[in-house]
Amino acid sequence: MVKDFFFLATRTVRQRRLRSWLTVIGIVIGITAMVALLSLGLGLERTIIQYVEGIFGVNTIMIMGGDEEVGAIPRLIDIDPDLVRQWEGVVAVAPIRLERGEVVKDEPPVSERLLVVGLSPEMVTEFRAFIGEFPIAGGRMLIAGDEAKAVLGYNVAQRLGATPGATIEIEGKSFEVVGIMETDPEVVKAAMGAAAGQEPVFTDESIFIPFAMMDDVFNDAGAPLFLAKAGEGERVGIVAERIDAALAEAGVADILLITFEDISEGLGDMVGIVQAFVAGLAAIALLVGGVGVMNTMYTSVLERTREIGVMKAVGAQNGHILSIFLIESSLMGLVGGIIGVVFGLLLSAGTSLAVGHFLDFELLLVISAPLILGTLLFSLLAGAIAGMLPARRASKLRPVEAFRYE
Amino acid sequence: MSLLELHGVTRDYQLGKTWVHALRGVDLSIDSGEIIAIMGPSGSGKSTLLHIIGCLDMPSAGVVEIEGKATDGLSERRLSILRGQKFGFVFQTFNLVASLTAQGNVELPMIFQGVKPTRRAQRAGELLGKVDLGDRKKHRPNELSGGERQRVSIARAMANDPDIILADEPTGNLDSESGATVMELLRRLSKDEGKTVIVVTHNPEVAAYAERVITLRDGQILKEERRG
Ligand SMILES: Nc1ncnc2c1ncn2[C@@H]1O[C@H](COP(=O)(O)OP(=O)(O)OP(=O)(O)O)[C@@H](O)[C@H]1O
Ligand SMILES: [Mg+2]
Repeated sequence: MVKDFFFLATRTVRQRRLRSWLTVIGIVIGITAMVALLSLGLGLERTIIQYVEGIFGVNTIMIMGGDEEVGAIPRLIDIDPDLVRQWEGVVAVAPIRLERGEVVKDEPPVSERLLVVGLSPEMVTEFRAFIGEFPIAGGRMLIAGDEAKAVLGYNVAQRLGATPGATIEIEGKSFEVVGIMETDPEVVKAAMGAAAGQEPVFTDESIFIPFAMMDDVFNDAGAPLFLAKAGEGERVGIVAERIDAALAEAGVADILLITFEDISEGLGDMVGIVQAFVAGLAAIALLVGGVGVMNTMYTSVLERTREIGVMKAVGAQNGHILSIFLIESSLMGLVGGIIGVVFGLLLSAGTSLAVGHFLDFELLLVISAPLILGTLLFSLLAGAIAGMLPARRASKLRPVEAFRYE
Repeated sequence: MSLLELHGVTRDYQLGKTWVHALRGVDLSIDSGEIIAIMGPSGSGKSTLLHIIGCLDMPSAGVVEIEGKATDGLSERRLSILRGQKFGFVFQTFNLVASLTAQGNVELPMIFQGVKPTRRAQRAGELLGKVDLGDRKKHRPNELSGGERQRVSIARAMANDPDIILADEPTGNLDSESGATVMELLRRLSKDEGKTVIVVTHNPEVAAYAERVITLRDGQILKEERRG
């Protein structure tokens, strides 16, 4: 019987082809907008997360001294990196600390206050994304086991007139220059930025020494920023919790732990808000489409008043008439949905191509099956809901009145 | 027990502040297999009476009994089933569904009774054969003459093998030859298949087919004559 109702319902759609298509277009526009915007949103989210993942690394845990306030210079966390390294699930730890110190060179005599970066060699080997490439122009990079060795930023080396092998003093302590960095005027290293808070820091203006030497050179011990790496197969969140507990046990309070999950969650929330807004706009478009369907259905009911009367006279029950009209409006919704999904996906594919082409930024294309199926179901429902009142009116028509209608 | 009984049936319509009394107390008893003509001037309530008999409309007062069972108080669903199974309607203006073929129109009443498609198609074919339209199954109403359309609607009325055929001026839009064909078909349904046929008409020639002629005037039965 349902099949017959389908036939009876589609008959009108086919008959009034132009009107049906015009009605469907209303739905198509709403669904196209919805699918395109949601797909692009998903793509953007995926892109950002992948980007962050590339920089941050999925298994990295940032341990910062201080509260949640972004931009403030983090306090020092006085804990031995070797201790952290032994904690369960942790495979690598790299602290970084920035201080300003008096740097002196005897020959030629120069003295300057400079940014001294205490860098764990692991920062370079294990957390490359945070410190970036470390291009050395002459000499070598700091390595594990180095003690009173220093690598100079390009400008610093120029001003001090230092070359590998030279000796400098930092806060009165003697260091051997082992390497000079290539000039890198723009890039602010992520790890240095995070450790310095708001202050802009430039590699060219910095001196790098082994982190272990910082305690000797400056007052206080510890580092504002530790990067820890969770082992392969470990749940990062759980390792982070363990670190938190272990730090608390070691008497270190007010610690901020950030994992990739936290960041992507935060970004996801942000994208989510944008998406919700955009989806709201699409919903309005769809509402307009729905009103169009309702209008067409009312017209259709009116046009077919006599026919409804005939169907009732030959034994159609109210439920049958209701079904026929609901099927008709649901079908318009569904067809609009199918076309809208296709257009929406094409539109988002086109947009991500265009973005890739013009903006030098690869926006990932996400074709989400749940989104597609959800949208189709949604459009079907939208059609059904829009058809509800007209179908009810049709089903409640009294046969005699229907016959008298001209 | 008669097939159909009407007791004190009235039907009032409100038009603004005035009331139209389309039927003012009709008592009627109809037996199985009868051919009855309902005559009377325009506006005398013939169509209204036919609609009430066929459960397309309900009386304002009075009782309609079908096989001894009163129809008042029946749910809409029960009334639909009754219309679909007990009655077949034939209208002056045919009232065929324009988008359906002759076959589709004859199948329509069977759809609502849940008859299977193959069975439906077969029966529609038979019925169209009986009204001499076996070769016009695939034609749509606008491809058929008036007389042919009315024969399709007779086939449709027979679809669920009802006991009662109600025809409201079935020949009103036809030339006399087509009208005669239609009336001959209705007469045969009564004679050969025992159907009760109630025909509303202005035309004495049509009424001549009837065994009983009921004349209405101002919503009341003016006279009843038995013939043959
Ligand atoms: N829905 C309605 N609303 C108001 N008045 C109605 C309605 N239906 C019928 N009437 C009135 O009831 C009276 C009887 O109408 P009905 O259609 O039964 O007459 P009829 O005998 O069939 O006439 P005709 O031969 O012209 O078809 C008429 O006066 C008509 O105007
Ligand atoms: Mg009439």
